[in-house]
Amino acid sequence: MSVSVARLAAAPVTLGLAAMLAAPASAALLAHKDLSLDTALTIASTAAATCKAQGYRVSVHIVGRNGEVLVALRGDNASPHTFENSMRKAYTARTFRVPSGEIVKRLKDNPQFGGVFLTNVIATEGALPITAGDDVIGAVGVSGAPGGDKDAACAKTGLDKVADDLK
Amino acid sequence: MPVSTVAFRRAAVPLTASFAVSFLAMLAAPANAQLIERKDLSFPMALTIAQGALEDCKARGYATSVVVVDRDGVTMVVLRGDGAGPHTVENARRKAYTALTFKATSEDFAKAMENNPVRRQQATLPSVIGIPGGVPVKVGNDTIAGVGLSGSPGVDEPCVRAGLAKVADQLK
Repeated sequence: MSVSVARLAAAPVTLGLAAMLAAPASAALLAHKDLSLDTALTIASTAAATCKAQGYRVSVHIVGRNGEVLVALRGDNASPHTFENSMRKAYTARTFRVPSGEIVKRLKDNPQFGGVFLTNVIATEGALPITAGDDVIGAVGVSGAPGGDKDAACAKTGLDKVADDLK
Repeated sequence: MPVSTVAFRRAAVPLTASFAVSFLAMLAAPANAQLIERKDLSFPMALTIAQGALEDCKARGYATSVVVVDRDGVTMVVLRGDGAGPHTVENARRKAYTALTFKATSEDFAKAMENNPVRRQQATLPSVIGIPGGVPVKVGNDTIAGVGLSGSPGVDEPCVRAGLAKVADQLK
């Protein structure tokens, strides 16, 4: 008898637990693609080589989906600040999902734009987001060329190099 | 002209002369005040070492990260291997820094920590870490860089040495 009482009492608990465990449809695992080191390094070394061929001493960063550094390259004789600057540009392009030059415009249009006060964000041209379809999976940042537009142009050659892999 | 002034002037001549001589001696640079001439890793060499190390560990089945720091402990190259744990980049950098600044492997540093209180104190300095996997890069007796790798179960240093072997001929 005591057993059946216990079962009766346990039944609603079991039901509730089962309801909790039953996953809603949206709780499936996320499936997404991420940059491999090979792809990231190809982008970075191509961007660095392009700028070097033009006589610019640059540093390059590739950040991944979470803004984590995947590749960092300090070019021969690149100025000390270029390393951090390229990382911050890349982080900025990744987190706002736009070229970092776009943040320059946003800040100009809205001087109160608070995003630039976040750690590692910088409103400077020279980084481009890396996308797989519509998904931003990282960014490439370059610093050291005489002008952010030239940094961005070098970054673009890196992206072009792996365009076929970014699908 | 008061006598005292004349006397002073007479005395002043040799004094001025001796000042001038000593001043010239100060200006004359000692032999060791020339610019320091030294060699540093080039970017292509640093990248070759890093890639070689990472590939060696990958061939052994381990996902690792590798960092090369220069003579001043400044990061030159960072590579985060596919699937390597989040801590591996920072760990690799600190191993590289430790090997560079103490001019010995980070394993040697770790061993020294066991019975050398000074080493244990130095391990509290920023970026120093007593974990094997950091190797100094030397040209002759000159330590010019450090390489650190993290993520393998105990073969971090052999992987680094495989990377260094790729540029052995250039480290002269």
